Amino acid sequence: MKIKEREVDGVTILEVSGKIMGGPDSELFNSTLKSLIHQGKSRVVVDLAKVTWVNSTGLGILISGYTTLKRNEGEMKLLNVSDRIESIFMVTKLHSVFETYKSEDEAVQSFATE
Amino acid sequence: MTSLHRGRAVAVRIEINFPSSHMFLGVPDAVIQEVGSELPFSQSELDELSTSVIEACTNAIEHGNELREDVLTRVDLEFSSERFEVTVWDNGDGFDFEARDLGVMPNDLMQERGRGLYMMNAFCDEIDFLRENGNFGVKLTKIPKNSDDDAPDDDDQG
Repeated sequence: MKIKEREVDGVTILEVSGKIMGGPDSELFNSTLKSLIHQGKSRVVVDLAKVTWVNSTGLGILISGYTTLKRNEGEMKLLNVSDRIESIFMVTKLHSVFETYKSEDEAVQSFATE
Repeated sequence: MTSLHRGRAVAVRIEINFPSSHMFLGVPDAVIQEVGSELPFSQSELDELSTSVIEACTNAIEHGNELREDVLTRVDLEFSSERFEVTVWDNGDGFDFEARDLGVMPNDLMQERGRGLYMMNAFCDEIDFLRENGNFGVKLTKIPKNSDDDAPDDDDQG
């Protein structure tokens, strides 16, 4: 897994690529979020457009990130969820937890309306 | 691969062995996607099988083979136009599968682990657990919903 970070209108976009599958991925994702929280950036959109697949350990990484940001008065939303990942969210009922968007503008604007 | 698509080919077998490390989890995925593209499975069916196999491999690597890269995780693939069977083998003792209800999700939706078996069971048509020569295996079977069994074969033409 690789993560590229940028900012749009006060919202951090994390462009994740590769596979989200545990091992070193967990440490990378958690440390990225902790660094953002430390900088006071707790509004995060995770762009999954370049993610090939997620396994159940990867789901745990996303859940952990979501919970970490919530605990720090922030929020994590998901962008560009593929059909393959969407079907995993459906079967595990995590679609009721994660807020997902198809366009970056929409995802970023959703923070403004809160 | 054309003969496979006609629905009467003998099953083909492939065996993959890889070191028990997360970095190789993409290998069975790539093989299933490549081979499956020649079979009468939809993309979502292939994704469901592949996701399940990745789950089985994750368990084999982490629990069965305890992330020891000197221990190989074995994946047997057997496929025809009628079914795709994948068995993932590790060197561990496995678990008491008869005591597990595979159709039950973790109680806490926000629990970070414990969904692997549930996902395999939900995404595959059959799931079996095997013990053989001190190894533990998880066999996952996917059957295409819209196979072209009704398509005319060579004998019907002409």
